[in-house]
Amino acid sequence: MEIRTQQHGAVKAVVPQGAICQGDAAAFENEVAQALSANMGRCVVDLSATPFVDSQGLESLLNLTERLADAGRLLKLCGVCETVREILDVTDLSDQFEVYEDVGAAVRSFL
Amino acid sequence: MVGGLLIAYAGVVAVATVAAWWGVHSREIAQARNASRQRSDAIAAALKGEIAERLKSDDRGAARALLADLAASQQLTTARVTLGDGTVVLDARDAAAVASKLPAKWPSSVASSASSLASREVVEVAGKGPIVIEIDAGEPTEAMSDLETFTLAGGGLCVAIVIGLGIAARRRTRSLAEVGDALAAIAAGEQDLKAVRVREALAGSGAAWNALVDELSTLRLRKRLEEASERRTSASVVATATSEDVVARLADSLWIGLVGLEPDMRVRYCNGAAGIFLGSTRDKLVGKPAAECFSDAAAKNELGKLADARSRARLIFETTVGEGEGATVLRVSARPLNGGGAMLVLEDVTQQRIADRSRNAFVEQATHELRTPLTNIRLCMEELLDAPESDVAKRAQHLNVVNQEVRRLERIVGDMLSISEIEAGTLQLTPADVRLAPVFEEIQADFTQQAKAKNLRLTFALPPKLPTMVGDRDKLTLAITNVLGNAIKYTPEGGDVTVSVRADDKELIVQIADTGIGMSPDDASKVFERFYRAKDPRVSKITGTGLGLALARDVVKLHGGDIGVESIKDKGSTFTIRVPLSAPLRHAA
Repeated sequence: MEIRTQQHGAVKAVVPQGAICQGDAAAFENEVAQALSANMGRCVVDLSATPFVDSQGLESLLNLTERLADAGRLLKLCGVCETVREILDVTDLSDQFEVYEDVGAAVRSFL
Repeated sequence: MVGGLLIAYAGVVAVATVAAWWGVHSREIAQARNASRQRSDAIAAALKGEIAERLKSDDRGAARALLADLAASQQLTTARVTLGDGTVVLDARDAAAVASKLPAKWPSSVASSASSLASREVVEVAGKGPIVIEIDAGEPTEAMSDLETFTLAGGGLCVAIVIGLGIAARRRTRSLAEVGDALAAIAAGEQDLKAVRVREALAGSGAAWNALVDELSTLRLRKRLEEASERRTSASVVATATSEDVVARLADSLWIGLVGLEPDMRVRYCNGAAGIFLGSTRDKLVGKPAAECFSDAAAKNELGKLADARSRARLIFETTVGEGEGATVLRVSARPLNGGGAMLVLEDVTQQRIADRSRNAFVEQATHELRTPLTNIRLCMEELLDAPESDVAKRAQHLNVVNQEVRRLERIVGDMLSISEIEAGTLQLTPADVRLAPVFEEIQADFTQQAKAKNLRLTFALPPKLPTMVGDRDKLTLAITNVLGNAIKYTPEGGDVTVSVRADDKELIVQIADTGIGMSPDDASKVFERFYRAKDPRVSKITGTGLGLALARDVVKLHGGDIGVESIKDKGSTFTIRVPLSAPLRHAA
């Protein structure tokens, strides 16, 4: 799976291009962890090109948000499609993340 | 597993068959070789008298004929006569090896030979010396050929079977070894289940192991979900925790760095956010001098002031940590505490500073854009006040300029308002069914006169029928006219501007191509930014706000579409607008 990044001012958006599943979850988690570390937490995960997330992908997202939890922040997600939103709801994980409509709204939340 | 056993059995049977066949056949070959040797010995013994007799009478020709006839009739591979020193006197197979002239004095003794196959018969030629008759009836070629063929085929089969068995065994052992390594890693405390997966391609056991790992991963995830749920539903943790825990939890729930300093300015406490801001961990920061937490000399200097125990003043300064895209502007508030020590409050204001810079640039450029028409209006008004009332032509000229500049001001303010509305998220699109044919007819009517005045050929390539789409008619018209207006503005007299419109089931595509001044790749990449104007001196001579294309882009994006440009400097530009016909409209973000 290709993982793109975009810089919006001081905020880096990580945009996975496809489903976050078994084989790709580790690479995705690594990419976001690096972006979080390099940008001191100013990072959003843009899921607008992610149609599905499996249990491995959910675990990666949980790992990332827990990494930030000790610093009083949750992982910011945006562009979440209906399927992924339902997965987060069914697993009762929606409130483990800050979810924004699109990348612009997520970036503005750092102001 | 069963396949591997079958291969192993087949391999053993094949190897045993080849070995048995090879044993039987090699004995046959040994017997054939022995018979061949006996035949060679008999021929040599029978021949020696006749040859010695002919050589004694110096009749080498008769001896050669006898030898050649015998070699041909008996199919000998070697049939020759040599002197004691090895000089070949006669040879039925290789005439070139024969000495052309016999020596006057023959060697009196015979040297030994290492040949294992040829029969050697030594005979004394009276009055001359000894000769050696060498006869070889050859290898049992048919048997040998069979053996070679069978040996090659059998050997190849054996090698193939051994390699196959080796690969199967290797795959199995590698798979087992990887599973063994994974088990050892788990025993050593490895928690990351992704790290203990093995390659599924190795063998069935690898896939089975990975299935177990996945199952464990799912169980762990479920457990984590249950724990998270319990945390949320359980009684307040604050109620059961110690006061120190409560403070630590509260501090860790802030995205504001808190650092407590000892009187000697060493870090005593920091929360999670402070650890991230200072690029380290809490464990490493505790005990570290505060000044060493910052690389900026100004920040070190400010913190030095805190060390003065008499100071009670709060210090506020900004410092930058990190480099490149990750550079972070921290706003540091430092306050001395009663009884010594101090507290630092760190806030990440990087994005705010970028927004401030952007806002300042906007105001600066907006002011500049507004000043130009205002100056023109002021000058014209002064001229009007000074001009005599009788000079009607001059008054009309000045009023015309004032009118133009007021319209320009109106356009700039309108564009700025639209852009600020888009940025603030308050721009309201009014979606409705938009019949596209009348829209382009109006645009064509509006711009035809403008193009004619500039002596440009404006062409509209419209399809016979255009669909109806969902959108904001006024805003879409604004976006298209902004791009078309730009094309006319930056195309020199005599040039061409072509508007091509086409639509399929899904989207409307508008291409506006001109033969104008074009842009460099750098300018083309920034042309949709607010207030951006190309660095070309020809552009600066033409009035413009630098807002038109930015606004067009924003409107198109709000309609779920996209806009792009391809341009060649001094050749012209082609702008392409794509808007979905039925995409749900987005609200300004």
